[in-house]
Amino acid sequence: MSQSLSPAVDPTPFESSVGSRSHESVVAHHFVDAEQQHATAELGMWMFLVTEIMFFGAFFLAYLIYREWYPAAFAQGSHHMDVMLGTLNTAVLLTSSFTMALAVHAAEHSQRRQLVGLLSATFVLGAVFLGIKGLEYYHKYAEQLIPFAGWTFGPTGNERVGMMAFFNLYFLMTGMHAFHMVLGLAMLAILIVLANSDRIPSSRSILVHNVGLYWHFVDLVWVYLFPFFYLVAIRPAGHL
Amino acid sequence: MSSTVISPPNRNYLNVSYTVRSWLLTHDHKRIALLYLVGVTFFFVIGGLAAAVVRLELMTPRGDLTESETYNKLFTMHGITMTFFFLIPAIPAVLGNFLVPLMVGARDLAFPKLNLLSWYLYMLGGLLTMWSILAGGVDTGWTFYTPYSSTYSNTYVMATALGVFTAGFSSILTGLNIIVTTHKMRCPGLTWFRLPLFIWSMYAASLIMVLATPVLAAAIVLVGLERVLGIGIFDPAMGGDPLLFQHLFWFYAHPAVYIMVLPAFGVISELVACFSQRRPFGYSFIGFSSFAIAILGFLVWGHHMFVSGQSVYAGLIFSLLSFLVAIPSGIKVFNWTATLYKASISWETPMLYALGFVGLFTIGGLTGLFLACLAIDVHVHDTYFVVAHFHYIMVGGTVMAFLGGIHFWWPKITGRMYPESWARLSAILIFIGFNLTFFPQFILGYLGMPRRYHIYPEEFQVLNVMSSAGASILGVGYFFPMTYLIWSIFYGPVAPDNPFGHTGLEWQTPSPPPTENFAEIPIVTEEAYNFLPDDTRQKIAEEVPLVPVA
Amino acid sequence: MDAKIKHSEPSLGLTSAVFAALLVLLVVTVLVAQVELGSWNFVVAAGVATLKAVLILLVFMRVYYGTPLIWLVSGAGFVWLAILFNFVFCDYMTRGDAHSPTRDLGVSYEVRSRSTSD
Repeated sequence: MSQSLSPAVDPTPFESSVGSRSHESVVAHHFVDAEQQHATAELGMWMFLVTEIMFFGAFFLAYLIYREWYPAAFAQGSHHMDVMLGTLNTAVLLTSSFTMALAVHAAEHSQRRQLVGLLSATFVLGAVFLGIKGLEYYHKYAEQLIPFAGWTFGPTGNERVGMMAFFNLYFLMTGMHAFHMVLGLAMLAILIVLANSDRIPSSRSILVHNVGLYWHFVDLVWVYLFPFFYLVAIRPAGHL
Repeated sequence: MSSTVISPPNRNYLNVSYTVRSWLLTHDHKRIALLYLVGVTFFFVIGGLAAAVVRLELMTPRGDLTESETYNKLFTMHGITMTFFFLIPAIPAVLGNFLVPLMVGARDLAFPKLNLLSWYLYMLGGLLTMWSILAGGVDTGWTFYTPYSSTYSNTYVMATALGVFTAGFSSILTGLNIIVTTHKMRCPGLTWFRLPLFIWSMYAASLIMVLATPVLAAAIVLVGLERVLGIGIFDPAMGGDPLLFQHLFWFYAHPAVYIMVLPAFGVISELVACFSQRRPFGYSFIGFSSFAIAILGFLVWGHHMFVSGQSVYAGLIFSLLSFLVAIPSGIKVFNWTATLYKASISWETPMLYALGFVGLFTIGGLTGLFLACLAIDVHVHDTYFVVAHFHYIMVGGTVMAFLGGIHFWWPKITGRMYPESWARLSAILIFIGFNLTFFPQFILGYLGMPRRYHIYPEEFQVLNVMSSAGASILGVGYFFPMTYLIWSIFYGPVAPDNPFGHTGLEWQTPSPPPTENFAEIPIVTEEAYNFLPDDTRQKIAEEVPLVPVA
Repeated sequence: MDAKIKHSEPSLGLTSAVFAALLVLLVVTVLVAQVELGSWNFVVAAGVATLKAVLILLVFMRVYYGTPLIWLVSGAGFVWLAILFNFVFCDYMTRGDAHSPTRDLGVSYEVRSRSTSD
């Protein structure tokens, strides 16, 4: 980076700003000031989230079409979902979003210890979510409800094909969501290390804010996935 | 108009460092643009070679040069390389990368590291695709239609799909960078209505890259998961619908046509304005029509599916909306023509390409109206009529504009002038070769010759031979610029800062520009097209005898 | 330095209130799913989910406090999704029964074309 700068411009690269936190070192060479850099980073993150919305949107489209086609199969399929675990997981994820929102607040107000604590809490909650998700996947495997990869698919009868579509979509969409969670956990881990060594001054709180935006977005996807797979139709009595 | 004094050897982005490392790890948008130029040229040659073999095979009605399977792989390779690795990145990632920061008066794009990452993703995707071709090829056509691609094809679909998927990320990052730069990095005084039209059209194209590419990514992920894991979202045996793939694919791939052609519109607007020394007629109409095309482009994808089993009602709606795209496209053509009207036009090479573009794009656009019409489309669907139509848009439009733009900004990029007479010769060769190649294909298609077959009835041979002959002229026309442009880097005359007398910001810096683009961030007080009024220039012309600028 | 970047942010009280509301909505959506409402079950579930999403967007993701540009960008994704959904359903909802593998594809199409030619 520095070799491409003329002597007239401050040659300190963005990354090497540890230690000296003067105004110049935090602002990259092509920005006028920190304000512009902050707004640019936020807009960039939002543009990225737009692409994520479109990406998940394609899967939601497939979901809506096949639900339209196979209403009975989708109702039956959702009866195989564990509503207790699903509700618990939703609560866990919503709580992690809450701690993330608080973490952004802490970062902006230079509360380093709260920041590390809240980021760690978010990380742990995210990991708990994935753990519960894994448990549910295992249950589906045990109940022979995985229609792909050569496993035996249990359900028979008229609704078998529709239920295959249901479980294909279930694993596809929750799997894609879980993959995004893993990426989010990796970002959180980096933030925790940075915050712990005091390398996120409030002037760089945009880092936390942007990871927060991503985390909330992943939460937002789950907010739809939960009713779409767990609460499709009313259950037979005592089945909750 | 600034001075045309030849600048002394200065410290610029090219000579600031010569190491390989300084190129491969650069964050400078101008160097990344050149990296992209090398990339797109490489893939253009690969795609061109595939097309050459296709045209050779079609010289005779019998399939005597290649096997059917090989022929399928050849047109697939041509299509995939040309669309995903040449046409889509060509203007945005090369000219856009180089010019957007210069035109908005910024030191770099908003996210220089993402910009470099974008090039690496592009090359990685491209090389993956090349590997799959060397390993045995793909035969699905560039459209990857299911269920053939997901269930039946035994070729290297996964590797190719992964390559296209990776290149999609590169496209998203380029688009994101351009949008954020346009919003946040404009220099003081540069309001939206003072921006060059190139920026307007790049912005509109970037919107499509950001909004549409993720849907292609989703469709490719689904095809991949179906091949690898058997998650059959498109598999009827598992309750899926193969046609859904076409919806997702064309939701991307139709707007992708406008990713290719909108930046071309931007280039042409600059060229037409500069070589007629006029503010583009109806500046705001050209600007807003770019947005209209970008948005309308999202509402018409179903016209690729008229005969696929889509409902007739949906076909009707898509047909109606497809006709509407003609309005903003027409606005552009009329405005360029009105800009030229009674202007004192100079006939440098970029202008030849621009004029060629206007004519060819008009033919391509008007034949598109035939295809938007439900009944006619049933007749000519999947024939050479369609092939000719989109080549008039892609090659007659995008490639002409790309070459015009490369010639126009070559002095700025390299600091050297290209050889004018050679350049004019090849521009004319390309125009002739192009029309000879593709006009017969309109007739072939209308007579009923289907695309993607290498064996055809005897009576189509004359037109096919004409087309192949045209292709060889076209090939020579493309070969010349590659040669003389490289020659000009070493031996071409040193270029002045503003050889063509354009008033845009990018011409106010030295040629080639310094790494930081501007010694001081400029403050803009007028719009990009601040040419002298016609009558003033006439007066000057009467008093001072005309001297050729370059 | 801090003074240079102005954060417009929700208060901690509001953030907590939104969190509480999200949990309440979660309970509501689970409970409503136990009541037979026919096809309205889906509408209610999707509506509650959207309400939750809007709360997350406006407060947790701070769109409410954002510039007009952030409003525009955050809305653009959803508008474009609406375009995709709208036109694809334009096709699927008017395809007759052609999708059902158990029915004869020709019959329903015949009936339709005859009735339009009358």
